[in-house]
Amino acid sequence: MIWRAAAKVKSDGARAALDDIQLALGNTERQTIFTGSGDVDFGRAGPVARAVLSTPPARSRSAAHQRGPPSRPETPEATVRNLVDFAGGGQGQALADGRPGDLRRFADVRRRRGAGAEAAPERQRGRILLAHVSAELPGRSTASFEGVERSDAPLAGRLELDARDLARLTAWYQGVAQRQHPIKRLRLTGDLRHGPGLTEIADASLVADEMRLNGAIRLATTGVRPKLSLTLAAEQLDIAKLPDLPESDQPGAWDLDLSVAAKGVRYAPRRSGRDHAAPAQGRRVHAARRSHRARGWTAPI
Amino acid sequence: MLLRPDGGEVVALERIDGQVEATSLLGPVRGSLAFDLAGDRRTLRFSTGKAEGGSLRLRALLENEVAAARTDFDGSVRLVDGLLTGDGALAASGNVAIPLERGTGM
Repeated sequence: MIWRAAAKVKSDGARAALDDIQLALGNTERQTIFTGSGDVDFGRAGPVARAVLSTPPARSRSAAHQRGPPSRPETPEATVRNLVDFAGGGQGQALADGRPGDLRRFADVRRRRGAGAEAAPERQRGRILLAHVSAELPGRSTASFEGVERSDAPLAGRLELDARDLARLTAWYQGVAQRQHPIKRLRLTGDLRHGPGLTEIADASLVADEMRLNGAIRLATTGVRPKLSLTLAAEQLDIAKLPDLPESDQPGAWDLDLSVAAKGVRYAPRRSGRDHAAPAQGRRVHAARRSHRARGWTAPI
Repeated sequence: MLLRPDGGEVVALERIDGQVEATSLLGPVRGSLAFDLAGDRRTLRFSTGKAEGGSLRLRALLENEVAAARTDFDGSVRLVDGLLTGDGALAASGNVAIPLERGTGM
């Protein structure tokens, strides 16, 4: 993946302010451009970089991009079913609303596609008190959600996803031939709130191989375009772990807000299996300790 | 090795090789350096203007051919109470490929 970044920088020696940041990811045909601002704090505990970036807002509310709020509130059953649908393969199955028994039948359908997904909602006085959804997916992956219906969200609870072979899982989910993926294993845990037009994961922990990120993920689908907001912090941000941007007939079909903080940035892949990352604070690294095949390095900020 | 004012180590440069030319102690100065940083060979080319009012115009280009990455700075720098301050435009680019050893079978 090709990337370019530019910014106006002003440093007083203790802190550098970064204004007019422009970050372009991908080649010119499939390029996503982020703009924003940030800073680098050269504190005693080591430098920390922060940036708040977003894609340009939609310029027009064309019919093709128009996305309004859902025509009617999503029922708890539909919410659970959507979660099972997501866990089970994403190919929507038309089922009648308001029939909890359909969840089991739905799960059975999913099991025949090579993945097992189950939901076990308990209803009391018309409300879902407990919804447990679990799935075993290709790529030695598992997903589970356990939560309750709340007054402010149809469902809220704990989400856990562990994809040990993300390339295989992604290919299976998209129904395409398996391709290389920069991330081998992905684990995600967090407190999920899922409601009409808005899905949030608070207290999120995202582990992509050796890269660890913490923060919050928010997906809103009520605006002109779907908007994905990420607020993440990492000891070390590995640009090589960024997946290819999704192909789209409409460049910029998504709005992205990205707020990141990191002590170090790695921007080249390692060719060997050993972790040769230089610590973010730039302690001495002897070349002899590194494999001659190692190409990755960490830019001390 | 470059140190922070509080003595903390910021970055270690090794196997430094290069040349620097200056027409006076106040500049202009130009030069090129090659060094190891975190195990990769880097090259740095830079040129400055003449120091005026404690400020120095600086253009610098840092390249890492192995990682296909380059960073350039165009602005001014000055020393204030022992701290290097700066003001200018910073740009960086690179090309990140997926590691080759990744398997592709289902």
